[in-house]
Amino acid sequence: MFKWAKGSHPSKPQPTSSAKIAATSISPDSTDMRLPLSAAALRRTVDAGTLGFKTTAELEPIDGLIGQDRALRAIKFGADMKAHDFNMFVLGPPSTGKSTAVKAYLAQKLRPDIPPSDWVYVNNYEASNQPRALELPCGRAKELAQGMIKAVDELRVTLPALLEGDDYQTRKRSIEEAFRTGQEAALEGLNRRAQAQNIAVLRTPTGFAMAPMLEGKIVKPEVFMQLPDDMRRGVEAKIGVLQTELETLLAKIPKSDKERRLKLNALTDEIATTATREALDDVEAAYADLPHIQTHLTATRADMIRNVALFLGDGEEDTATVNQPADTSRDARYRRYLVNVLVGGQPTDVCETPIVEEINPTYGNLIGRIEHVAQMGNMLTDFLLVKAGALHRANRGYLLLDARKLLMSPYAWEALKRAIKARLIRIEQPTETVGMMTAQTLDPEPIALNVKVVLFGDRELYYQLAQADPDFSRLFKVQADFDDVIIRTTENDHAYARLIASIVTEHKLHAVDASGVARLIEEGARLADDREKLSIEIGRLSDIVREADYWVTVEGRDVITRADVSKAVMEAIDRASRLRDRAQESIERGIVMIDTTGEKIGQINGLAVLQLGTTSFGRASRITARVRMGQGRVTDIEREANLGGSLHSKGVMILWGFLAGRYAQDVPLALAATLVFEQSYGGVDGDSASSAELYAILSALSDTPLSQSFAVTGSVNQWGEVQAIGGVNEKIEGFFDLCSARGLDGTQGVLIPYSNVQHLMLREDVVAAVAEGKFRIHAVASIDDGLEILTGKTAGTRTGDAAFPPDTINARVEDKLRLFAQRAKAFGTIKDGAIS
Amino acid sequence: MIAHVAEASEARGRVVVRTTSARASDIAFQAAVRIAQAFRSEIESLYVEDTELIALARFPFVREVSADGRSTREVTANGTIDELRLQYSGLQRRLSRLAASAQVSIRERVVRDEPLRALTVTCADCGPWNLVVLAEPFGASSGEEIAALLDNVHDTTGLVLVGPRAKRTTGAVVLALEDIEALPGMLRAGHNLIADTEAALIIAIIASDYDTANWLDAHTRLTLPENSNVKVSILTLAHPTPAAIAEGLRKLLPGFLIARFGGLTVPAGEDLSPLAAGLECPLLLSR
Repeated sequence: MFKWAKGSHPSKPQPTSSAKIAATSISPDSTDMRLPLSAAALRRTVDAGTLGFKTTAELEPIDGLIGQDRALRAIKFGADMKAHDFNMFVLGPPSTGKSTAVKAYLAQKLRPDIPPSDWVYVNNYEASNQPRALELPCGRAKELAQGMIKAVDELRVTLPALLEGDDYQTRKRSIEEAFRTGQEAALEGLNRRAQAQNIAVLRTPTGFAMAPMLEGKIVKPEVFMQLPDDMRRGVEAKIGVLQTELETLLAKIPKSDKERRLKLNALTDEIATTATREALDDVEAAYADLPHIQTHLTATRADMIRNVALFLGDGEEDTATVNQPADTSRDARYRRYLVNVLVGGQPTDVCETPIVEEINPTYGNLIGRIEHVAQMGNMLTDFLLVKAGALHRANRGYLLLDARKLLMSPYAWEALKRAIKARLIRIEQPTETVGMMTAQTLDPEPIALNVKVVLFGDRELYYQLAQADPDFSRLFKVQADFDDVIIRTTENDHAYARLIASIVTEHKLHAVDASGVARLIEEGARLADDREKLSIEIGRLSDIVREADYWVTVEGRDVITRADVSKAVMEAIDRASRLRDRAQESIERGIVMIDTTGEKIGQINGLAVLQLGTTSFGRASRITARVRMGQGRVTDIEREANLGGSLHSKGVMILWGFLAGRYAQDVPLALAATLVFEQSYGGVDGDSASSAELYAILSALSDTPLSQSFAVTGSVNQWGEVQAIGGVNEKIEGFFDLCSARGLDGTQGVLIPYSNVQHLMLREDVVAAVAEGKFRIHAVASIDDGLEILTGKTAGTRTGDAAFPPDTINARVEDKLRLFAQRAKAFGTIKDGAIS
Repeated sequence: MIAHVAEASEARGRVVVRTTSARASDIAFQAAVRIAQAFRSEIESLYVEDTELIALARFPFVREVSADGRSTREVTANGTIDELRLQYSGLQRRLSRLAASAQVSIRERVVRDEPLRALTVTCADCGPWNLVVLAEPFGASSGEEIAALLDNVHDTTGLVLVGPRAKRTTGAVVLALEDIEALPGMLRAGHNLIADTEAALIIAIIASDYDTANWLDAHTRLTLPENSNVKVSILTLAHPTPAAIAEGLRKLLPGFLIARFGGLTVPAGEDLSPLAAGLECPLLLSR
């Protein structure tokens, strides 16, 4: 369902420049309102000859924006202001070049005082789930990462070689031999002593045991049992003693083994220390000026020494691969020593103030994310899987975001605010921030943040945010408000021409000749809904130029002319006009009843604007009024049927105030009136029909027929003055199209508020019909002006306290109301002057 | 001399792997599998439940001292048998896994006997072209056992040993040459072992003087075919002790060493600890 948008409020009236409106009547005080406006007053045209060029090819494309001084000042202020909470919200309608302008300005406004930094994440050897963030001067992170890969590569070759080398092996063997010899000698000694006593020491599956022996063989138990008791006891005693010795001997092994291991470790450490020092020499020298990098390298060296085994791998593989190390960066064993370049690793990363635009500001894209890899059904991660977000890339620079997309991304807005407030980028799983359970993951060290955030959005969003979120106003203190129109001056007309030249250049289009530019300027005024202004919605202007270029290309010409622009505009309207045509058809076929000839009492043609997507069109609607004696009430049927909006009701109440104030000063208003938009089923809002409704009531009260050749738009105040409304051009054109379809006879026309004359930028066919006297447009300042045009009779003016002149419309209205009051009194519904 | 190891199709010999305890070395198992692969043979896994260990239970006074010396316990026959069975399961699993990955067939045999006799019987069953692999690392006093084994087990063409430092089976196959007559057999075995691998074959001439070394070198080169890829390395030592020889050979990073029992490299009836300390690969011994 769509609403009849009646009387949407026009933009704030601008002073009309002198000699702009070439109308028969140009001032409500000095002119006869009954005369229609001249054709020249209906459209402010541009004389192509005055533009001073033949085609846009002669023009210098415009560099920047036109007519956005206020916004540009705000951008400059926001960009220069160093405080972290003076972020910007650039607001304005879409396609006004906001983003382009901000980027262009920021590109000039680099901040050499705060050079950007590179950031890396490295392993925290003390707590691997808390990677350390290291800041480096711009451009030095990548070298660090490469340096570490080289160092590891070198160690993979040198460490095994050193540990296989004669020096190490000889010393190692010495240590092991010392241990083994001592151990074996002790065991061998025990063995020999046992053998000397004819006792065998045997290895069992889980230890040692001793048994009597004879001539190198274990004595069979049954043979042994036949020995004399004292002999057996002697053997048992010997075994007991030897067994105790064995126990003592074996118990010493772990201790001596520990000593052996310590000695071996010390030896390995000595070799590894030399190797790691040599491998890391280059990196340490390159970063000698950065103490925190030195600290990390020292920790790395210590870890490498502790984990020498990592570099040895499988002994068999070592032999084969010792001179051809595989890709270190892909080898899981060495990930702990690598460097994750978060910022500064991409070819596009340059040492200039970053200006980053994140077109998809999800939580992860903004704050960064911790990725995982699936391995044997488990999700694993480490510091190398920490990925940068837009905040990291924009650190010490500017971050440009679309506010609506940001707000629509779960958790992103809150995360951005937290980061700005804390001045830290803390990468968390979004589920952590809302207290949901999460798998064990990393807790990377936060990174200091110094960024200027620039949000882009429309005004509605800005004001909603300001109202709904207290943080917003605290953190986004600079609003850069982009206007969608500029005042139309000769200078701005020329600037507009250069803007068109920019569009032509940017999109590589055919040049536009002066007539085409003139037509585009006129269309700019039409888009602005104001003949005194020009729309600077670059996107829409660009659409028209590109469509015109298409038609030129189709026809094989070289230059875009006025006709091409007009065709582009009309084709665009035509493509979106299916519903408009259906509505028009239903009127033409008499399904929706609208009279465009003749006279009727209490019936008038109102005008509404129907907005469908990017297009809007005017449509006539029959308004009728019935009056009778009553209790002083106007029944707004739309309101009663819940089809009327609050603004429409307000308009009805105002006209009631007008009736009472003008005609019922000394009698009760014993009137009951009903007002309705006939055949309207979709709802009505706005007050632009209030003057039409008043005409219908006055017609009904005065029994004076209204001309049906006219349609009326305009709101009215309690003094009977007709006030400006929105969509005046569409409304006029809507009624013109209807009349045109039925045949223009010169009597048809539209009554508009006088204050809307400055907004007139009517279609060329409407202007032509007016010029030929086939259609009329009257600008009225008061209800009386309109009444006289609609009825052809004198409205009548009261002089002082005197009555209206007889036989005037106002006199007849007053008489009818007095009659109602008398009848009401006779019916007893009026007591003591009040209606009961 | 290593002249032959039976192929699987001959059904007249095996690579017999003898294990008696949990000290069995993985390198010994790997060596067995490599030999079986190289000679397209099969493995006969022989696990010996030493009857002497089981008999210990019948001495009422015998107690077992744990390996760490911290506890002692009574020995029972059933307990010993159970532990031997468990030990066997673990060992067999290790060997089977290695054999399966190399697509080598394996047959199992568990006997309760004296280790030497069990090996003799098994080799006689499988022989005559068996190659025996002793799974437990040899030690300083293993010389006598090796000698006894080579003397008593007739149905074998060689014996494979590993030392306590053994750590690889890949790398060059080194022939420790002390007697030119042994060269053809060693070469055949060496060529078989390096077949289908990129390993080098090195002849290390071991002699106590230059004349002997030069003589051996000359005859070796005459024996080798033209354009042979076999490298010849001369190891001449003034005092050719087993320790010095072992160190010289270690530097060649062998993946397999082939030597003759009773020579300079593996002297008969001597302390084998120098060799045990320096040998990092399996040793294939011929008589």
